[in-house]
Amino acid sequence: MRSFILRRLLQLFVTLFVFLTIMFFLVRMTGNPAEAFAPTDATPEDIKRIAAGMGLDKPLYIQYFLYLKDIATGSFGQSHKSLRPVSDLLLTHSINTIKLAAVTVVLSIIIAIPLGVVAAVKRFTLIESSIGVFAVFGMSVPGFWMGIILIELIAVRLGLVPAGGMSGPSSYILPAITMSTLLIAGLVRLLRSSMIDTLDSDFVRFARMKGVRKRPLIWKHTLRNALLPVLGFAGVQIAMFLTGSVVVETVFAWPGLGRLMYSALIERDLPVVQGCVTLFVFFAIFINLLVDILSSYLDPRIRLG
Amino acid sequence: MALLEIEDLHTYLYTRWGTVKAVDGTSFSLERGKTLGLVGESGCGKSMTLLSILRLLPWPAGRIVSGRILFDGEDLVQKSEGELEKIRGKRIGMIPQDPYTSLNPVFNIEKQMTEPIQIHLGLKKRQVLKERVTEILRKVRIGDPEKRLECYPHQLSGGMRQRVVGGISISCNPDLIIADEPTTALDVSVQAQYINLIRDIQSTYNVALLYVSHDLSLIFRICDQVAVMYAGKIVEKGSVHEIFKETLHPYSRALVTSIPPVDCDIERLPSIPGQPPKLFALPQGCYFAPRCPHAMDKCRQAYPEEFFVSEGHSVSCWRYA
Amino acid sequence: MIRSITAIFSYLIRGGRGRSVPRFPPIIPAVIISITIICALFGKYIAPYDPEESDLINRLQPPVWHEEGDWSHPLGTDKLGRDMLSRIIIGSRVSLSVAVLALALGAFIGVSAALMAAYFRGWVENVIMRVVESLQPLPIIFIGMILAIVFGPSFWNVIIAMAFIVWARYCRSLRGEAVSIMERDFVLLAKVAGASSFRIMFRHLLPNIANTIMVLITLMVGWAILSEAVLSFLGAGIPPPTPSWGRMVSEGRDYVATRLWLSTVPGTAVVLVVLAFNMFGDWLRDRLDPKLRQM
Ligand SMILES: Nc1ncnc2c1ncn2[C@@H]1O[C@H](COP(=O)(O)OP(=O)(O)OP(=O)(O)O)[C@@H](O)[C@H]1O
Ligand SMILES: [Mg+2]
Repeated sequence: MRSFILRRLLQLFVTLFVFLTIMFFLVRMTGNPAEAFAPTDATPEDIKRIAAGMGLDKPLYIQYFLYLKDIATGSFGQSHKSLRPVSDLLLTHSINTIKLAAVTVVLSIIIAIPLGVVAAVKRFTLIESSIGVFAVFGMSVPGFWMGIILIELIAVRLGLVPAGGMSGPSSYILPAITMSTLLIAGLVRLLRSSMIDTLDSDFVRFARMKGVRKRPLIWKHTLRNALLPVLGFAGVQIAMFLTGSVVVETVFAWPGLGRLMYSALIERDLPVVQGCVTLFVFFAIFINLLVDILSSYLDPRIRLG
Repeated sequence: MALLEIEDLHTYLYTRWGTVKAVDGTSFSLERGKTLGLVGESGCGKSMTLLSILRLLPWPAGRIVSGRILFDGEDLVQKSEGELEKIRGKRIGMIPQDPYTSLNPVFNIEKQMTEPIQIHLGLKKRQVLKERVTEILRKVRIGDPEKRLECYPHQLSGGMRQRVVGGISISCNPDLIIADEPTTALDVSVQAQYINLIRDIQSTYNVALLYVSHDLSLIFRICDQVAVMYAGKIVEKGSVHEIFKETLHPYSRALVTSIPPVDCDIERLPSIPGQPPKLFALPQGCYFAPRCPHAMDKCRQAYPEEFFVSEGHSVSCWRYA
Repeated sequence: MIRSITAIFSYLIRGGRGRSVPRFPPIIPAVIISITIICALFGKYIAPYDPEESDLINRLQPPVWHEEGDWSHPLGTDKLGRDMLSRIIIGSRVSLSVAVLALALGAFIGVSAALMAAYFRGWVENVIMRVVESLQPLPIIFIGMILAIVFGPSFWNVIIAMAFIVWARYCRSLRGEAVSIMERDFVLLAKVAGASSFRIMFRHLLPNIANTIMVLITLMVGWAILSEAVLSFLGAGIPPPTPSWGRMVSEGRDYVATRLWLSTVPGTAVVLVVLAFNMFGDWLRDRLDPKLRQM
């Protein structure tokens, strides 16, 4: 188990490294990178100062080293707009993102697991078709469309919950619903097909030969095995989920990282965008690692090698 | 009265490509404590017959269309799923075809072995359960049982896994064990041991055994009765002596004469010229006629009925009309 | 009763997924896809107005179902008075061309990588698969955003960002199958007969994984259209004035309180088209490759 986690950790570290390297070279490819980092109204002195900070007068490998060092120490420079250090902004905003994401993930798992299981168990019935159609809708509906419609119907017309911003618990409702739709749809589709395969497997049939009742058969013998391939696809799901979180925060004016990144992009505030993107990728990697730990817990073949 | 009596069983599989008549009018019976061997080429419907008994057919394709399966006088075909759950594993134990994939990879051996005992005998205490399964593991000759209980299936060898599977099947002292080629996946030396083990258990507890195998010399050694199956139907059945020494049906003859003379028990089913028929496009008349050296005109027109040549020895072939 | 409702319903939107897979595709998705493709190809002749021409007198006109709307602009006009219907028709071209180009590029790289991994095995495969795995957790949007802010938003940015993600997914999904085909007799025979590695990869391996490639492409068209819309919505996609559905939604957001249709109409176009492609892809997968069965 430890060696498995270490291997995955190394792997994810490589992911981060690949990403940072790509970002580094992309920024250096644009003529004068200091200009890209400078605000639009910067004076030539400002640009020179920024260039010195980035080490642009030094050889490329030193620049690269400096860049990695900056990221490792969490210093992403200064926002042009608010003139605050990017790391401060990241800190305050990421907490809100994490809160919303946690609510959404819990909600999604609570809903997706029963739906996926039921769809597989009740095959060829109206129940399965309905869950199937719901899942295809969930895969196809962009968060911005759903968010706008929910705001209009539930927040504006009915006035049940706030239309945006982060206030009390009720302000979580709409963003969480919007964000969980895609995740639920993806999980349900994966889980259903994996449940169907597992229900068809020899060991489930043997469990029935032993006289195991239907309920433990499904929820213990089948589900636990069926979850493993679903976890195997977690990388893609997590990537889509984080993309969704940027959209949802933008639509609902949620004061999180996604919204920070969106406004920085509109204002062409490169240091902030770079910081947000790096942090998001870091989140993606962290969640992947959690998933790996979970699957090694569920699967003794991984745990015991 | 026989323990298991199958009467005119029809089990069809409704697939994308058409209806497969996997079991098509099969009848046989098995006495308490006796062994019945079911033989036939691959794909002739042996596994489907066994799975019909426990009503564990592939879903949604498989269905028992008609027939009766009398187990201890009660018709299993009419039973509800809940009633069947009480019979499976308790009164009928099944040893499936593949030991490698039959154990759940995420649970340890202890959990998988104690499960049927917990369900059927209502034992709850961990210590009692543990003692019981240790006992069973000893019975199926697994060394160091306490340690094995902690293991997960992937940590055991194929032979050990098959013993565990066998141990689970006998753990509630069933009246009937159904074994579907339990040794095909094992290597030769382990095979012989395993067969002896099943035989031992059978004679100690007076269990009836329904045994499917490709290995005719093995069938000859362990069975009391034999039924030969071809394309979903039983073509000949009788005592082991009758089938092997007074063989009637040309198909059985082809099987029997091709057993190697030496008592070498690894020999697989020999090849018989021609292809077994596709079960969803069966020929008219006797299904074996296209491959039969003695085929007559009559054989190509109508399927032969069952003719009794003696008490208990019957054959479906026009030559014995 | 319930049965026949299910049957009709299946026939219309799911291609009758039941115990068997029918020959005919689901009707409604097929119709939507056909309309989208026709709009993308011949939009110029179909669109009633020039989608980029503004008409400030007629700005912010409501669509026909609104009491003040009329048929001169069936879906109304935007804040510059541009005809929404024409913009949506032309927008299909952007959506589809981004999707097709990105998937084609991604598929080309991904398939080549999978073929190489399957053919050479050993360290080649190792390196390829490590890269593929390390790309897995990267969300497309962040690559798109970095490209957008560094180079400014552009059509090709979106395609490159997407292809960058797509190829890894293709490679991951195809490698296993390619490896198992490599081990089949006819490939071994070709190898023994001295066929060149290029020939084996493209004459023997490729045709045998063609079905899977088709299914994967169809299944990802929806995703690609959706991703383009999201990137454009966030201002990191197709730059103005080219009409793009995602950006139309975001431009309409300034008016949500009073003129909701400005956002919801283009948003609905995205939903319908993506839904149609996803349903069609599911049907095709069941039809061509029951092994990839999901839902
Ligand atoms: N899940 C299934 N779906 C459709 N057809 C099946 C399925 N399982 C088996 N069949 C078909 O049913 C027929 C009988 O199969 P069965 O498994 O009973 O054969 P068998 O005699 O046990 O063969 P073997 O010796 O290879 O185990 C075969 O022709 C097979 O093609
Ligand atoms: Mg079988």
